[in-house]
Formats: sequence, structure tokens, C-alpha cells
Amino acid sequence: MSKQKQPLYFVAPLVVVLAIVYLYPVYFAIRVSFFKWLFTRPDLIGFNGLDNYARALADKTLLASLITTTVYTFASILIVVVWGFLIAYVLNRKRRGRELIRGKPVILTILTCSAIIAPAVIGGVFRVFIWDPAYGLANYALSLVGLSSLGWLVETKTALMAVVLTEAWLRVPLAVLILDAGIRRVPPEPFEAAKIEGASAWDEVRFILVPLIKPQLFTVVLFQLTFAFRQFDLVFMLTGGGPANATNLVSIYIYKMFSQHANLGYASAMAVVVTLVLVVLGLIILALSGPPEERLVET
Amino acid sequence: MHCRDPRTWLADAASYAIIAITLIVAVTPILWTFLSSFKFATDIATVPPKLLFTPTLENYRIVIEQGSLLPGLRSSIVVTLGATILSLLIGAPAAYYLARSGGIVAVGLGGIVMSTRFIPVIVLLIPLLIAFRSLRLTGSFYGLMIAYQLATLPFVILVLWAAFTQIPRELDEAVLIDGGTPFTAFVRVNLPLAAPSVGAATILAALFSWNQFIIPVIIGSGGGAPLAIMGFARYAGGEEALADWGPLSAWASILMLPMIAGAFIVQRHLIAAFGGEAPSDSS
Repeated sequence: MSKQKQPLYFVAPLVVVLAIVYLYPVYFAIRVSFFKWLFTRPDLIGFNGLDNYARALADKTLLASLITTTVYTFASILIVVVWGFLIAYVLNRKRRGRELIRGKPVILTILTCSAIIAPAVIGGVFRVFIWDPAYGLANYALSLVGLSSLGWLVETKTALMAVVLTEAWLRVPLAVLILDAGIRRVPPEPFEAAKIEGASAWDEVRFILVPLIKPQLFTVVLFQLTFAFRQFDLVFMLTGGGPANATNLVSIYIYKMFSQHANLGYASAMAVVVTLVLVVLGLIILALSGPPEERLVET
Repeated sequence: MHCRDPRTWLADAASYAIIAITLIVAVTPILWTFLSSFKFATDIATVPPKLLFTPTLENYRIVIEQGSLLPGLRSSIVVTLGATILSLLIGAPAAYYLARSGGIVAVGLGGIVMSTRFIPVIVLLIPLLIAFRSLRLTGSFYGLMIAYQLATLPFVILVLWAAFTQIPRELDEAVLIDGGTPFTAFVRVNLPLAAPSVGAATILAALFSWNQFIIPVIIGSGGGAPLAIMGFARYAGGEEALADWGPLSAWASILMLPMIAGAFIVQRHLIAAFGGEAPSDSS
């Protein structure tokens, strides 16, 4: 049997479904991005070349939205990676041959709960029960430690921070699961050698642990990049993009172009631009990840 | 028990503190929503928050009597089941093909499937709606089930692809030598061996389907009752929010409960899906 020859009927259903839900919509969106195309005015539909793209490049709201989305994405990546690593590291700390923290399976299961609830539900729940300025738990927690209340979602200064924290709350558990799986499989020998050499715990983390779990770290970064950059459900339910566009992620802006202005042509052109930005960011991260053994922590 | 030097002690204390804070932050919002669903309106929005209160089922009565919850749950279950089955029927053989064939078709298809994760879903939905109109798929749940493949298929394929890659090809060859077809090799040998991963893929597909929001917002529910998550959105967010906290928490609890019940089963499968490796049975 040749390794290359498998009957194509195995992939036929996939090809059909991909053609319907993916390839055709992508083709359609790219084509429409060169058209004037308003749902409300079918009489005006017509080719307008690069006009939509010219408008996209000059659109201050789109630029602001891209910046907001990038901040949202990288802030959440930072929190998710740092906090997720910290928890995974602590969960695997050993004291006299035994794990310092008992009951790891239970802890992981509890954390998993938040990772699997619908982002839309989390958004709706956090908006009132956590971030409400008067009765939310966030301000209550601040008052317990003697800090004054914040407006959270209703103020432009704090809204982005609140949505980023919610995004992180949703994704840290996933990072813990992935990083824990990596740390658990790290062999003990390099650490024993480091002990003999008199390395500090911090040096062990920097020079041994992080390089060894680099594949898992980049998995976390990459999935958080694609999740956060395309986020819609969570922020739509939290703020709807407000106040004053402070949390106007690109997905929400594109959605508004559809739903409020029915402008499919322009929304599609924005989508093409946004996708290109995301692909470039993804490629940069993939290039940085490289083969795990080549790039150590000196960067 | 000798020489507990202060720095070790400090590091241990910090470790416990990190875990404790994380658990509190992780659990409180869910628990609080659940508790609030049993509170009268006067006990919900209070300063300081009330831990002790007279429990009531009033909020659940309100959301049930309001009429769209039960039909909504029915729609959600039907669409979730349909989309999950469809994902497995399409994804399992495709993943097997990708794992076994190194040809240009496999490489191209694998790349296309993975590229879906880089395109904002919102962009694809209006063209999809237009396509569904011409295919006459807008009048039923079938449209939604097919549209959900955008969310479920990449993960189903990722998990099963990794699983089939780990099954030795020699087994396939043995089947073929015994006069079997590639199809029997797939169904009789590979699928049973990949059973744990098939389970993982099933759970993930169901999870992603149940949690979908933007797809039903745009595609609609094809004349059937709007999905339960749409009813929740009416209370909780978007432009027409009612912001009635009691019923909101009841509705959210009903949507969250099946997820939380499945958290333990789901846990190691999540690693498999996002880490791109087969689920292991260790711890």
C-alpha cells in the first residue's frame, strides 16, 4: 500500500462543508470588498474598485479599533501567560519529593469550569455581578482593601482594563492546563544538576524550565492571539463596544458596519485588512517560536 | 523536618497564597451568579453583598413562565447534538485521511482547516446567510448545524489527526492484506483504537456548539425557537438588555450547569484540543 494513496471519499464531506461555510464566504467577502454593497440599497450595488480599501485606510475609527484590539490581545496574552505559568509552576513545586500543593486534580477541575462556560454568558454575568459600579463584586473587593470604587465598564478610562481582566479570567485556566501538561513531563535530571551547581530557583525557571516548555508556552500565546484578536461574544455582552468606543474591538466594529449601516462592501474590506493584520501577527509569533532548542531565553 | 529556612518558608507561603487567590477569583463569579439566582430582587443588589438570604425559586419561575426558556433549551440541544454528530461524521474520516496521506490534498486541506482560526467569524456569516438562502437552508436548524462546523470542525480534526497519527500504519496494511478496504481499516481498526480521542472530540464539539453566540445571532434559528443563549442575551447585554438581575442569574445558571457538570470529563480533553496532543490518562 502506498502511503500517499488514501481514497478521497474520506475527505469529500469535509471539502463540501468547507466550500459552503468557509471558501465560498471568503471568496464572497473578498469580492464584495471591491463593491459598493448596501443591503438597504440594492439598486446602488456596483463595482467601486479600491474605494472601500481607501476608506478603510483613512478610517480613524478602524485604526483606533485595531489599536484597541491589539492592546486587548497583548495585555490578555501577558496576563494569561504570566499568571497561567505561575499557577502551573506552583502546582508542580515539590517539597521532599512530594507535591507541595495537594489536590491538584481538584484544583484543575475547578479552574476548568470557567474555561468552558460560554463567553457570551460570562460577559452578561460579569457585566452586572462583577463590574457594576454600585453593586458589583469588583468594587466590593476594592472597598475591602480600602481602595476607592472605580467605574469599570461605564468609564472610558477603565473599560478596556475591565474587559481585558474578564478575557484573562476566561482563559487563564486553559493556559494552566496546557502549561501543567508541559511542566509535568519535564525530566528531573537538569534540575538536580542545577541544584548541585548551586543555581537559584529563579535561574532554574529561566534557564531550564522555560526553555523546556517553550512549545507549550507558544501554544498558549498562539491560541490566546487568535481567541482575543477575534473576540466578539464576551465584549459584545460586556460593553457592546462602548463607552465611546473604548472597547470597540474589530469584530464588534465590523458587526456594527453590518447591523447598523448594512454596509457589506466596506465591512468586508475592513475584514480583509483585519485578517491580514492577524495573520502577520501570527507569523511573527511563529517565527519567534522557531525550533525550541535553538532559541533560549536570552531574548 | 530539619532546617526550614525562612526563604523556603516564604516561598511555600507565597505558593499557597497564589493558589488560594486564584481559586477564589475563579470560583466567586460562578458561585455568586448561582447564589443570586435563588435570591429575591431585594437581596440581589445590596451593599455589602448578602451571603445569607431567604432562598426562592421565583427567578426560575419567571424565566420559565416568560415562555422562551424551555423551547430555547430544546432548540439548543437539537442544534448542539446535530452539529456534534455532523462534526464527527465529517471530521473523523478527514482527520484519518490527513494523518495517513502526505499528498498535496492532505497538506492543502490541513492548511485550509487551520487557517479558519485566523479569520474573524463575523466576516463569514453574512455571505453564509446569502449562500443558505440560495440553498434553501434558512427554514430549519440544518443551516445552524452546518454553520457551527466553522467553530467545531477545526478542533475535532486537530484532536483526531493527532490521535490517528499515533496509530501504526502497519495495522492498516494488515487489514488490506487480509482483503479489507481502507474503509474497513478506518472503521474496524483505527476508530476503536482512537476511541478516547473520539470521546474528546465529541465533548469539544458539543461544548463549542452549546457556547456559540455570534453564529446564531447572524444566521438565526431557521424559524424554530431562538436558542437559549439568545434569550439570555435579551436579559444580559447587547442593545435591548432588560438587566433584570434575578432572572438573568437564573438563566445563566441553567446555561452554565451542564458545562460545570462536565468540567471533570472535559479537563484533559481541553489540553488535547489546544495543545494539539492526544488526551492522556495520567492524573
